Amino acid sequence: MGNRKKLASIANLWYLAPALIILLVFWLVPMILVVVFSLFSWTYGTHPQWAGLSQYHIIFSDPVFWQSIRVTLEFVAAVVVGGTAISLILAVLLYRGIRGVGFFRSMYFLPYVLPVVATSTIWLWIYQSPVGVLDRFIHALGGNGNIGWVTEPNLALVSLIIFTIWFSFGFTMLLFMAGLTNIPSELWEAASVDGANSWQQFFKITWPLLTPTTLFVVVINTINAFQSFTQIYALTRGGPLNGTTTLTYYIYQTAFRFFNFGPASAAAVIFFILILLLTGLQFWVSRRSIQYGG
Amino acid sequence: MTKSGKVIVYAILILVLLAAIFPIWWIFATSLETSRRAYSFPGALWPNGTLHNYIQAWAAGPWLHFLANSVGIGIVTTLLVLMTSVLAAYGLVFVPNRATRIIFGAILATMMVPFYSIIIPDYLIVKDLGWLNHGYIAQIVPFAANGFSVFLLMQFMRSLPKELWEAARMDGTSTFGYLWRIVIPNLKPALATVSIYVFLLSWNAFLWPFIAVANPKFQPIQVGLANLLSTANGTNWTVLSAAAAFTAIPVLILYAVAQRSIVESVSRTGIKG
Repeated sequence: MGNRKKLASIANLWYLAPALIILLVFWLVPMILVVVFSLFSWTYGTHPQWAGLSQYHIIFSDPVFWQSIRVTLEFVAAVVVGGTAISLILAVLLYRGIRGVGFFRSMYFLPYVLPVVATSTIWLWIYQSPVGVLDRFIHALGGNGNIGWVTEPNLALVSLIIFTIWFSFGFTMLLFMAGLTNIPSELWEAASVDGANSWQQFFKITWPLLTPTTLFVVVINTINAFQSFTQIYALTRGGPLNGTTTLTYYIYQTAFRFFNFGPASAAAVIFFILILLLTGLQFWVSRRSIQYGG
Repeated sequence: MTKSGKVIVYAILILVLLAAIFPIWWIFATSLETSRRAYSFPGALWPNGTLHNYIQAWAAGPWLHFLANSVGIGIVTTLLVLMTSVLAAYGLVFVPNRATRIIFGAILATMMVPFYSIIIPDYLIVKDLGWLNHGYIAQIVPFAANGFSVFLLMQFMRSLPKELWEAARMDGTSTFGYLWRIVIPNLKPALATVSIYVFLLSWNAFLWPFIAVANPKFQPIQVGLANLLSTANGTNWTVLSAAAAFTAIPVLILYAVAQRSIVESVSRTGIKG
């Protein structure tokens, strides 16, 4: 009996084996390996040498690394706050008594399904100064018309943020709309019978009941924004003057352009810790602020 | 809502609509424009319909090949993910034991791992396996399973009524027979959701094929376009727009056909378990 049971449970492992092997080899083991790699001094073609924490010391004394942390945090904060606010407003506007909801919804979502390389290409053309359509439009309105959207160090990050919100707001709007369908419509009806106006209904009913969805959107947005790379590569290559070098770009550049695997691995470990801390913090905040359960 | 309130709401929605679709319109407007008119405002707002750029862009790279690569990689990856995650989810939900509980934790843990933090070890593993620049395998196998799909399918399997399982066991249905004949047919919406999620992920993959696949013969269309963009940077926007259109058109067709299920699937992936 005992043997048969054991046999059965080994047979059951076959169901798990294919997924488990792939996830082990390409996801879990690499997670350990990257920590190990970060302790070695290692460039392409040379033998790795034990280096203790010196690789961390190297990146910590690299001003570009610190700048990339700042750029990443600014980028993530702007995309998360801006993207979440815009998609929440649109979801709420669309949700009640609008004709053509399906049409608006699918058009807003369209940028998200298109390949980022393709949309980055067209935005790079839109952003060109002074020949791109944005500058030409501003010029036609009597403005400066030579703004340097992707060439001015202070502006390039803003341009990336605008692009990122543009292609992702439709996605987070869908998440908000799904969350709205979970709120019983009797609540709004009762409120409007009681004479609550649209603003009161939003702040007293929609917003508090949507808190779990909002948290979820914020976490998803944070994780996605942290992992932005394609548009940075296509639009600005981390420049000008490293003004758009995020941590992902820093890792890519250090590992696959300069082939410094040690410092790049150290940066990858920091990257992982940063995402973990930030999403952990968001869950902790939400635990304390959600009163209505998720 | 008051009448003026409604007008304001529609005005906002239409403005956002214009902002959302103008860049997509601009791909096609620019690509159908002579380069002289493309640089003059507002000349290109309504293009004069030349196909010249498409001919030129078509000659600039093996687009049909890139496209076939992307579609093939996407389909094979999706099928493999469906297979691995249906089996794993089934094992975890219906035939659990002490070992599976630990495995469940491990699979969940992979959902927390950002790909960019493991890209260096993955690159070296693939290199040691001899997969670098060696066909499609490096673009498919590392992504043939993912924790999120397993997790999502588990949620759906848990919602199947328990009585179904007990009745099937009474009838002497084998464990695998139950999966094949009862669970999978009841799982169609979930399988569609996972398929769309994985296919879009694969279709949009950029950095990994960019570093792991140097041979254009095996590159996906995103890498092909990015390479054209970096070699032709700032020289010929009308031709570049036509090339961008090549990568956008297949998705636009897919979206036109399956828009409803794509939108529904994506909202479903957003629902918390």
